[in-house]
Amino acid sequence: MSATGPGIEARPFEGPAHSAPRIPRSARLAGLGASPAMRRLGMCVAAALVVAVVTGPPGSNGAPTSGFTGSLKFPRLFWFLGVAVVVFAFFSLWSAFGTTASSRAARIRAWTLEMTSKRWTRLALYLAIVVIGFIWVSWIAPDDTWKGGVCIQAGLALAAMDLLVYLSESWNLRVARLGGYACLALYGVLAWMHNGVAAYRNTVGAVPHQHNIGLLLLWLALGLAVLEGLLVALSIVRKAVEPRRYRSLTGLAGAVLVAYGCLMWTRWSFWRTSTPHSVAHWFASIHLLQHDHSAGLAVMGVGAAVLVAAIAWVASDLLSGSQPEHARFEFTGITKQAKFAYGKTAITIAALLIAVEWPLHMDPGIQSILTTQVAIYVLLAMGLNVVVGFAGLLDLGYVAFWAIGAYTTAYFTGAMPIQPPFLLNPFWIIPFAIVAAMLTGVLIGTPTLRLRGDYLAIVTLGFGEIIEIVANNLNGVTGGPAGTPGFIPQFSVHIFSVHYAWTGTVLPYYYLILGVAVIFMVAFSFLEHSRVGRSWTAIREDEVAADSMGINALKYKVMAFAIGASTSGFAGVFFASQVQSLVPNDFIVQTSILILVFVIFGGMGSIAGAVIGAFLIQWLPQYLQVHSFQDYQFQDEFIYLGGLLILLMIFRPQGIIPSRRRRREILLTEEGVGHADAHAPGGPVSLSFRPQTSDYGKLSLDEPGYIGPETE
Amino acid sequence: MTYTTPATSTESTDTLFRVDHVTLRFGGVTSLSDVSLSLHRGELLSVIGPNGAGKTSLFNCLTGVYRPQEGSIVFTDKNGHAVSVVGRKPYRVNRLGVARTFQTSRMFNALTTFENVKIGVESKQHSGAIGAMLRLPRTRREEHQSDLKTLELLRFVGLTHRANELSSTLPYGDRRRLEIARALGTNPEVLLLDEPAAGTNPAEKVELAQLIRRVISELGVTVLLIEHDMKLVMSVAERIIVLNFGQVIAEGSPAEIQRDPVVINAYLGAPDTEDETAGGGS
Repeated sequence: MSATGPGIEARPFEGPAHSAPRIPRSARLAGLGASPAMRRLGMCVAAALVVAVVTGPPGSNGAPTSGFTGSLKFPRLFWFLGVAVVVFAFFSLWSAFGTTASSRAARIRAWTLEMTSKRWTRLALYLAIVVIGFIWVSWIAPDDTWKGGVCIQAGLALAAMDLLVYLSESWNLRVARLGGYACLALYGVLAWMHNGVAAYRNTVGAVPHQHNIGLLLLWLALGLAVLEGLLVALSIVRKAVEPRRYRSLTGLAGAVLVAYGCLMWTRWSFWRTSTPHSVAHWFASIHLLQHDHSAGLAVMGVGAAVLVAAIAWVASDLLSGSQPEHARFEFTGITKQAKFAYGKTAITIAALLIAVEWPLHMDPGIQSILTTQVAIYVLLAMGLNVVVGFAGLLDLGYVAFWAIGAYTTAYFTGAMPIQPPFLLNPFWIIPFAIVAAMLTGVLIGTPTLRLRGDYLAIVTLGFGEIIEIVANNLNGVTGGPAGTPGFIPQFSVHIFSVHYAWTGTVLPYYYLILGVAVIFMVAFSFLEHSRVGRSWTAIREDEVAADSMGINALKYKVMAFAIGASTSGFAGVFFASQVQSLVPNDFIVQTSILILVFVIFGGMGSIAGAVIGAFLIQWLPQYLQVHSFQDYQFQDEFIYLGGLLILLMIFRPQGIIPSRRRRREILLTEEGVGHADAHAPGGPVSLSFRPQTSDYGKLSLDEPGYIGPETE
Repeated sequence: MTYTTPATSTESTDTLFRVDHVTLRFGGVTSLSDVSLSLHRGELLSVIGPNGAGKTSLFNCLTGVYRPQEGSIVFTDKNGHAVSVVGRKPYRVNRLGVARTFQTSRMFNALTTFENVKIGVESKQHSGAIGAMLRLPRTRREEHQSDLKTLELLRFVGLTHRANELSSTLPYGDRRRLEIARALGTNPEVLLLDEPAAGTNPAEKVELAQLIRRVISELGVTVLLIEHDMKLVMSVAERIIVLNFGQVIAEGSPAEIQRDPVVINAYLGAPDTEDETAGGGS
């Protein structure tokens, strides 16, 4: 699997740190007459007993020992001892990995790498996850099927992923994709069907019964498979002709439009009665597509025109015999051929599954918290991560751009005291809000970014205050402290015959923001590993050197600032149309600091870190309050946050999930440049290349030890 | 002024850099005083001189880091346009086709060797943030082009086997070569090397001399070299300019410079310079 880089895997094990210093420690413990392991076990059991007694039921006046005996009753004690054994096992494992933090980290990384590099260990892991899910559903919590269900689903999904990666490695990508569609279709069928597999589904709870979603997934899978078939057909044509990707895509779009128009045009009653469970039937049942004779004809006409244009385009190219520019770059970039990173993909799949499933099983209060208090902030944290993490600029007035986006929404929907020239649907306001926030960002950033970092922090802090004070005092424009007088409408889509409104429960909003957040995650991770992202790192590292490499530092800093600002403005639109009425108090400077804390807590420069940071810090206080922990006061949030940050800075200054580049920087500064190699061996190895001689022709990558750039 | 520039205006298109009467002061300290020199296309000019003679200041003037108070620095670009460097920002000077390395190696330590070189390669590309976020075809194409160019450059300097290691973990000689590769990535007309042999061992110095010769012969890049190692300078340089106290005191072929009594007095014969025996003994 990792044929490249001989000796790289072995390196972490060679570290001298984990063998030598153990001797004096065990010698010291030998004086107590017990081996370290026994001592550790004893401490764990003792601690379990103490905790069991302390948390046990209170005794009564008549029988003071009843509380004590009650706390040590069999099933209760069993649980505590079980936890103690688990803790003991964990610590034993932990200390087996090494004595110092860095050597331990390196060994754990190497160990996980070795474990995940073998297919059978991975399969065992997936099996274990599924079994845990089954145990959970069958014995531990039979009433609460969703946690076990997610567990089973995650195990199955991971196994499927592994299978598909295997297929793509040993067969080809197309076979793997078809396999993926098959998995998707299977899941769709399971979720859709009423009986048959229903028995399995209901007892296990692995696949919740979602009629519409199941059908949607099924048809999605079939559609993708058909698309794949079309692509195969196109590639056969392409071999005869020159590759014309855009022409064929245009043609495909035309064909889809024609089909869609045709569905609209035909009579629904016929479809419904004759073919239940057809695409048209399903479309009709959820009112995504309504019967409209003339509109259907119009869509068909447009589609036919596009189709004809595409055919004419291809024909003209064929006749003139010109070769399109991209045909010369048939093979993909080097970065794309990096080895598949199992761990990262596995965690992403699991996290996405939980993010999709979890809110479905929560009560509306928690759903509302997840939408208004968590999802929006996740979006905001990702945007600030670009400014603070990628480009290394301190922005303390980030919320101002959020306010600009939100008030732009309020303005264009007519909710403010001043009326706009035209009213817009929130969806169409998104570009306006992005442009408004971005322009403000560029205006604020361009003069201040010429100066050193501290000035930017001061200027943005002032700007944040200005926006809040303006919103508070400009009664005639913003409605003042009482908030916007009118109601901002919620999101709705009216394109041709598709009508959908994000009203009713808060869940549709949650899924909308989740989708947007996933798109942003992907886009920002592309950005991080692009020319722009590397330039940011270069500027952060050494601005003089970057300058002499032809990098315009000011341009890239303004770019980062503008991207952050526009993300914030974008989030503002969602926020405004979700809460429906804006109060200046939402946009206080404290919130800017809070979002900065998310980014620092999660790990600067790490997209996953920003998401996790925002989620944990936003959700945990709400959770504590919902579950009425008596001593917890919501107003004290910032005290706990401060303490948390201090602890973080002492024990893990790089954040919870640091980005690889930031982790390197911290290691380099902490431990001296020469030592960094010993602590970051996982990086290059996990992304090593498969030898790809054939694709590169004369520029073969066959040279010994050549490993490509990281892709994360 | 002990030395005046000889009539160098043989052919104007052949002159890459024309430095005319440049004076650079920091407060009361004059770092460069009335320096005039010209760099011809395709040659290897070396600037030598004792510590503090103003060699690096000259480099900083040529690359736009410092702005001289007097005089003019004119660069002739690929299209034959004469462009003044004075007052231009360093990144814009680099765009003209002037690349440099630094006296103390300044690499992007959080990036790998491959990425370090790639930053130089892609600095002149056009795809921006939106292209990168959406993975537009142009971005992918440019990315691929820069990957290939980077690989080519790494092979040129012989660092392919370390492509994915952090640049900070490289040994000193490799770091020097990496810096040269990174500078070459910006596709320069002229490469300014600021003491590339500092801190390298004799074997690496031999490799470095070969590399510098290949930069000229294979890539056709003009090289301006600051170096204290006289063996290296004498073996690669075609022409040498000697600076002392911010003034040009001599100019000529290596043989001429070695015989020049002014140079021997000011630099080669001085007891406190590190490599005088290497040059003087030959």
